[in-house]
This record gives sequence, C-alpha cells and structure tokens, in this order.
Amino acid sequence: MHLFVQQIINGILLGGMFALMSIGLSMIFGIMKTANFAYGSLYMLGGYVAYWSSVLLQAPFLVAVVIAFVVMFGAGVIVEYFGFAPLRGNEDAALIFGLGLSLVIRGGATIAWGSQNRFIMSPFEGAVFFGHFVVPAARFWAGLVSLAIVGAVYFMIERTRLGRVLRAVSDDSRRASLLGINTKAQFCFVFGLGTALSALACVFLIPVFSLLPDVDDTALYIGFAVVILGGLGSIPGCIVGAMILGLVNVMAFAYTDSSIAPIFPLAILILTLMLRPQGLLGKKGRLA
Amino acid sequence: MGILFQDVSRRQVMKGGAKAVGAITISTAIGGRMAHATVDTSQFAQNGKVKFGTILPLSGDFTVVSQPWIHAIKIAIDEVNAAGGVKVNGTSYQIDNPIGDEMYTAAGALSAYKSMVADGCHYYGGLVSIPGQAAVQGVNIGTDSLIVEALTGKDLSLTNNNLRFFEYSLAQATGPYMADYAFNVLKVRKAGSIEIANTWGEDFFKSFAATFQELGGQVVSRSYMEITQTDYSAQISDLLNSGADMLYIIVGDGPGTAIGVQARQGGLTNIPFLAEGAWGPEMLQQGDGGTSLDGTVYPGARPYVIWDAQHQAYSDKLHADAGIWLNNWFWHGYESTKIVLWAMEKANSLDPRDVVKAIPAVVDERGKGLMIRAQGTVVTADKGVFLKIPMYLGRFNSKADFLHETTLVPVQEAKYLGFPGWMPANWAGYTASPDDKSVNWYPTMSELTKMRSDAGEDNASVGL
Repeated sequence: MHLFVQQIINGILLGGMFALMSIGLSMIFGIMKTANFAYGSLYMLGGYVAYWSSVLLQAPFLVAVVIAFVVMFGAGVIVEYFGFAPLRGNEDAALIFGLGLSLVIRGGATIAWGSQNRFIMSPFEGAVFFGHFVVPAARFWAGLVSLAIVGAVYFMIERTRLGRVLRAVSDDSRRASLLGINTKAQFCFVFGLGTALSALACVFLIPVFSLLPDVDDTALYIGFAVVILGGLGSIPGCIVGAMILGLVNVMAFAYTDSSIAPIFPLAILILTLMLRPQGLLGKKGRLA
Repeated sequence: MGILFQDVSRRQVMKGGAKAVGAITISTAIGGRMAHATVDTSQFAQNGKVKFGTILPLSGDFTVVSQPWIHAIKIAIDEVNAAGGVKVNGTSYQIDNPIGDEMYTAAGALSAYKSMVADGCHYYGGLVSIPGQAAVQGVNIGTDSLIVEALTGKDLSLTNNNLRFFEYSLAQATGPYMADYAFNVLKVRKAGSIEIANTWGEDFFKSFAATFQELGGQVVSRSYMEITQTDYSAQISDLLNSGADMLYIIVGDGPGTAIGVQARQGGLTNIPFLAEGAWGPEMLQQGDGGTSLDGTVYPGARPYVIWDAQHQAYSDKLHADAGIWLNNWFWHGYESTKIVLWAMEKANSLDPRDVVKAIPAVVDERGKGLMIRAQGTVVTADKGVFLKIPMYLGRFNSKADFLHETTLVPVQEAKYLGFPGWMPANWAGYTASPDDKSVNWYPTMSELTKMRSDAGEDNASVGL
C-alpha cells in the first residue's frame, strides 16, 4: 500500500511536469489555433539559452530562467512575425514550416553543442521526506511552478482586459480587427509568451530530465498528448490531461511490463480521440 | 471472366501455388550456393581500396558514445593507410571508411548496411544497439561480411554466425566480478537493479545475481526500462521501498545518467551505484550529473583506467578535430580495427572468411603489446572469434580533468584489475543454442573459476 501511494505521488509530480511542458503549446493552440510543430525545438532552445547563461555568464539558476524567458519571448515573436504570420490561413504550409523549423533548430543544436546530457545546478536539490514518502525537490518545485503558470495564464485570459482582447481575437480575428484590435501584434504577443513559457518549463525540468537536443521530441509529443487529452485550447484541461498522463505513465511502468507500459498513455489518447475528440474539457466548435 | 482471367478451380490454384513456391525455394537455394561457391576475391577490393565501414548512431540515442568510437576506427585506418595500407598478395590496399547512421534502430542499421553492401563493403565495425545488431546479424553471412562487435546478449552473440569478431568482454564473465566487488568490498547485502529490457540487460543482471546470491546476498528489486523512457520514478520508488543498499544501472549514455541523477533526487542519496553500458566523461560533465554519479563502479578494458602518452596524443587529437573527449569507448574501435586489418595481411587475403580465421594468430603475436592487453582468443566452431580481454573495475571521478586524465580511477584491490573478461573455452555456451535450457548460461564465480581451471586457463588477474 505504501508503495502504491508513493507511485500516486510520483504520478502527480510527473503530471505537474507534463503540465509545465505543455502549457505554452496549449496557449498558442487555444488562442491562435496554430499547431506549432516547432514547439519542442523552441522549448529545447530555451533550455540551451539558460544553460549557456549559466555557464558563460555564471548566472544563478533563477537569473538564467529570466534570461531564457526574455530571449525566447523575442525568438517567439520573430518566429511568428516572419514565419507563421505570412502563412496564416494555410494550415498545411504552417504545419510544414513548423516541422522544417524544428529540424533546422534540432540539427543546428546538435552540430553546435553536441548531443551529450547537460545539467544546470538547481537550488532545488535532494529530496524531501514526508514520513516514508519521498518527494524530489526538483519535481516538487517544477509542479508548483506549473500550477503558478497555469493559474496566471488562466487569470490573464479570463479576468483581464488583455484576456478579453485575446479571446476576441481567438473567436474571430477578422471581426476583432474591424473593431480596431491589432491582431498581428496580439498574435506575436501570444506566440512570444507561449514560447517563453516553454523555455521556462525546459529550464525547470533540466535538473530532472537533463538537457540535450533530443528533449524536443519529448516536449512535442507530451505537449500534444496533454493538449489533445485535456481539451484543445483549454487551460484547465492542460492540468487535467497532464495529471492523467502522468499517473497512467507511472502506474504503467510500476505495475506492468516495461515493454508494454508506453502503450497505456497512447491507448488513453486514442480512446479520447474516439470517444471525445474535443478532449476532456474542450468544447466543440470553439478552441478557447 | 474476360480474356485475361480464366475460370480455375481452387485445386488448380493450390497446385500452381505449390509449384511456384517450390521453384522459388529451389532456385534460391541453388542460386545462394552458387553465389557462395563462386566468390571472387577481387570483389573485396575496388580500385585498389578495401572498405571498412562504421555503423553507429549519428542521430537518436547513444550518439555521445558513438562519436569517439567513430573517430577511433577512422584513426586506426588512417594510421594503417599512412604506413602503406594493407599488403595482400604483393599488392598494397588503402582502406576506405564509409560511415552509416545506425540511428539506434534496426531500420537505420539495416539501411546503412545495405547501402554499404551495395558499395562493396565487407567489413563493419560499430553496431551498438541490440535492434541494430539483430537486424544485420545473419544478413552478414549472405553478403560475406565480417562484423566486429562489442557487447551483445547471449540471444544475439551466441547464435550461429561465423563471420563475427567479438572485441569485448562477455557479461557472463564480468557480472560475477561486479557481484563479488559489491558483496566483499562494498559490503552490500541487498541489491537492486534497473536494466534495459533486452537480452544484453538480462545477461548482465543474471550474471551478477547468480554470484551475488551465491555469496549470501539478496536481490530485492529488479526493474526494467525502455530506451525511450525519460522518467524513472516508478522504478526508483520500487527500489527505495525494497530497502536495497545498492543500485545496479544496466544501461549507459543519457538514460543511464538520468537514472543515476533521478535516483539521487528520489531518495537514494547514499547507496553505491554500479553501472554497465556506454558511459564516458560526458556523463559526468556538469552540475548535478557529476555529483550524482561520482564513485560509480564501472568495468572497462585497461585503457579505461590508465592514462599514458598514447592516451594524451589521442585525447588532444580528438578534442582538436571534433571537440570531444577521449571517452571509454574510443578503445572499442581503435585496436579491434587494427587487429582485423593486420589479419588481412596475415591471411594474405581480403576474403572475410579467411581474415576471421587469421585473427587468433594476429592476437597471439601482438595481443599483449596492445593497450587492451589481449590474452588470446576463443575460437568457436560456429559463433565467431571471441577476444580474450582482461577487465578492470574503476570508479568515476567527475572532478578529473577529462583532457588530461582518465575519468575512471582503478579500484584498489588487485583481484579486480585485469580479471578474465571472457568465458573459458570449455563453456557450453560456445557450442549450444541460446535456447538450450540445459546450459548453465550464468555460472557463479565459483563455477566460473572451476570451469576455467578445468580448461587449463589461469584465473589470476593480469594487473595494471
């Protein structure tokens, strides 16, 4: 029983990290309806920005987080302005552009920085024991940051003037434009913020998963899985989807053969697509 | 039914099909035999050059350890070429070194292999993944190709396939020493392991467990992982819950590092780690990775634990050429490639079937002068040639200057410095099918010692 409860804790902590990994993608998808296949690569790039800030500038962990956030916000704005914006309305072209950009970034990262695992010293070291139960500090803080970000994004979209503007743009960008809203600027802001959040997620997860060019695949797959499961564009759905995937993942590896364990999260995903294509908390016909 | 289709009965279809299958089978068999019988040795060289291919991951998993290995094969070939190439039948041949991307997958390995076969390549080094090896093994016989292999599990390495040269130790020979070290030196009594779920992982675990239990230890946790996995909390909690006082990590590269780091974060703060697989300085490079894996006990060939002028020269060259460290796996490619090239001269032939037979004589003549201090070979009837390579236990030192010293500090006890990394020639595993349950596939240390004595082999360590 003790081990079972510990595995539940592990699943919740992993779910928190999955939520952190996917919040940026969910936001971009929800508001802009853009399937950003370069998400994983931008996530990885953010990690390297923090890593090199830490190594070259001797920046402490939290300063490296801020540097990565700012730099990747700018990178996101550039990618949106020069990449996705001209292709808006042509979903196939946007998808191929995202995939192409992803390959370029990943290949470039491998050539430039090699493929070894890299780590950043984090202030959240070791483990915290609650009686017999163990909570790794790095995972605990990643989960807390995840909750904070999801809460902040939810608050921004639902409770602020900026959020109302973003929802208007999301509902009908042409009509919003006729009302005097600079939709291009709003899209750039959302894409920049989503990219910056992905970078932040990557930095907080480096102490757990380490950093190497391959992490882009993990972030992309998990990001899309969480978004599809939780509900396309639903911010609370992101948390729900991530928690389910985290728990299923841990339980599958804990109580089934490792060779079939990876099937369980995928099976959940397929069932969701079959039975509730809009996701658990998604709404039909509206993405945000 | 029209002029292109005539009404036919089911019986006619069956008879026709049977004839067609029979004809194809017979023609394939005859064709195969004829092709084999009429091998022209000139096919092994083109335009005065012999191809020695490298197939290792350039993308996907295990790219870190692959890089020094790729360079090692290339450096060995460059040195032989610079010395005039390989001299066979009075002709000197230069060696070409095509490189294929294994991608750590069966499909990648097979694709690279087929491409090289089409270009006339008959010698291959590398193949680090089990799926990659499984895909190429067997195919190599039909294409008259010699594979130089490192680590595999018994289900792959002990199948019938004569065109193989195993240049590294067997898990069955090293596992007992790891268990002995854990029990008698580290004083571990309850062992736990996390292993990659394949035949290679299974061999290491079972070889370790047999001796560990014979000594009086208990294996309290055994769990598996997949190469695509990134989170190991389920396995680590199981291990923690079991009360294990050591962790045996049976996978290398990024996944191995991640297991070590996550294990330390997950509450296994003080227990010793033992590790198998492809590890190098990169795994210890920064921050948390370094402190987590410091002191991990790891088995390697002699060059893993010593550092001399030759190491320094290659270290400088690798770092200057490719910006990489001289990691442990450099030695996998370097001397084994040279042995094969020297065997071409010894056999006075470029035909891999002649070359593999000449390897034992080459090792007898030059083995003890090699960095790896090869002690000879075990020549099997059907399974290829196994190098007798002494093994050394070392402990990771993350504070080492990777450019100028080894990351593996040899352990203190002489027993573990240069112990036999091969199975004795009288081991039934060399002749039996891997499925044969009557064979003792995982002998304990005492059984191994007796078997070695019965074979007239020395059990003593070679030393540094």
